[in-house]
Amino acid sequence: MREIVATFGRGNILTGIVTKPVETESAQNRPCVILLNAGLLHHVGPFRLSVELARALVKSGFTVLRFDLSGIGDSGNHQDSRDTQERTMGDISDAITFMQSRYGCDQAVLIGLCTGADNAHKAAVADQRVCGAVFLDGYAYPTAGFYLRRYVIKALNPAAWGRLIKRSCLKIIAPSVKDDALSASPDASYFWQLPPKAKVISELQHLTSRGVHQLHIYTGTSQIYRYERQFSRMYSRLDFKECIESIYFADADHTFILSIDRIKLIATLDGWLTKHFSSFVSG
Amino acid sequence: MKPLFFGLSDHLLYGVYHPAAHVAGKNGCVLFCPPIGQEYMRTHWAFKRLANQLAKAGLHVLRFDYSACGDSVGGSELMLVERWVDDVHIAAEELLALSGCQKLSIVGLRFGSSLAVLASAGLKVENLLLWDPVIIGKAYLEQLDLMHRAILIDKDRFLDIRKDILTESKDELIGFSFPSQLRETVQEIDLTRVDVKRVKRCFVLTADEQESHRSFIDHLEGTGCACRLHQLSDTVDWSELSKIEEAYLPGETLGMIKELLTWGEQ
Repeated sequence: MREIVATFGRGNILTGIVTKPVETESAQNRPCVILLNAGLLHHVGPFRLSVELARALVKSGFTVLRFDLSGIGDSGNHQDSRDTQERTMGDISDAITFMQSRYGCDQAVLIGLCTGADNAHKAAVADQRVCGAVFLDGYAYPTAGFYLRRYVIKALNPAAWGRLIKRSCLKIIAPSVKDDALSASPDASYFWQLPPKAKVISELQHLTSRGVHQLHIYTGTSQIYRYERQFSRMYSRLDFKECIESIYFADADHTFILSIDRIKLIATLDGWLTKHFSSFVSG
Repeated sequence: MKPLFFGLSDHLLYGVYHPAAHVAGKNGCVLFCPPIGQEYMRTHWAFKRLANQLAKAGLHVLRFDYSACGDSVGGSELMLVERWVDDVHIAAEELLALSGCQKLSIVGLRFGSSLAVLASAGLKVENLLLWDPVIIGKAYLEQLDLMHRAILIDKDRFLDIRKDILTESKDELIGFSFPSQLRETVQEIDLTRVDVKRVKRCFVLTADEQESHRSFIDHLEGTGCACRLHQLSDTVDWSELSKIEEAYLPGETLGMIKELLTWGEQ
């Protein structure tokens, strides 16, 4: 395994770490894996998850980039008029282009948690080079089963309402920042908005028709996802065509604070990537 | 801002070098010793911001990750206080080489302060700034243990109490590995007994002055080091469970550190 500092993108302001197998042959014909920021956490990931994941995936022959979007972590800020969403999509596109030109990976699998899942979805829809995506606590919509469980839980245990608190990855406490500390960075209130369900269904169908493999993972503290089969219920109109899988990690919390949960997650992702992309032929 | 790996080829440390924006005759350099564990994650943004401010003010800055932390090499087997103290020495050498300057200052936060003090026994340090320093390792560990146990039964975090790991998670604390060999060495730390004779000036910065801070300052003054305590107006409770996943970005504290480090530089 080798780890290399990467700087790339418009103005060369984006920073990341490429983890690659020593034997480059093993990575050929495979897409690279790109790990996106979870909220405002830098590219190390929550509880070092991205580092552990990258170092595990490289053993299965994948070349992995973990990087910071502009304004986050070790990346600089763009000095242009684009809004946060446009910059984010531009940064992810630049990351794929970098991996393509430097390491010959024509296609990419995106992995994102929280806001990272939102960004992975949008980038997968927009960029034909994305051949796979993993969404950790991404979009979810209530179903009849969700309401049933929610109200039953409330009736049995009022304290359980506290578990539905909105979570985000790394909020900011800035008790005495008086100047432009946050204005040059992504908004302090960097929460993602849940898009209309019909739009998401249409986009997931589009990804499926492109043959983009998708893995949707939800944790026990997801706000809206409450039971194992909720995915197939909420997307009952969707033709999965063996491209979409979902897993419910009821025991785990949103940011995988326990090593036992991170180990399970990493093994799951490694297995899924190996199953779909170990003998991948770039389209 | 220049990200880089440095150190021995089989033991690389990750760091980000912020060269001084303008080069004058008296440019000094500043090494950051970050906290460990979740406190490292919470303060990453603050250190980046402070580094940018100091570089703009004419100082060369290196922030870096210890072995088995952040992007640096290794897993829990490399988590040892002795190893991390060596890392501080390696990072200091790297910073002096990159900047070409001789006047080294160190800023340590929480356990990073402990490592900075331990490493200072082998370094010539102009200014040693200790921000909410961990003076007594045993007390620090007790606080982390309490928080970790509270997390395991936190109903806002888990759907169900994690009975499966309540009794077998001693090698991790608040999301990060904390192996027994690290626990043993942290437990022994008492900064009031450390020799820091090569430190010219020391500043202890805190909003929460404790008896251990006063003992440490007395100890330093007894060895001939000029040491002062600065009261911070930004308050933070590092043991507050609900805040462990919130970035801490205290503007006034960063301003005070900049003022202390750039005094006489302009």
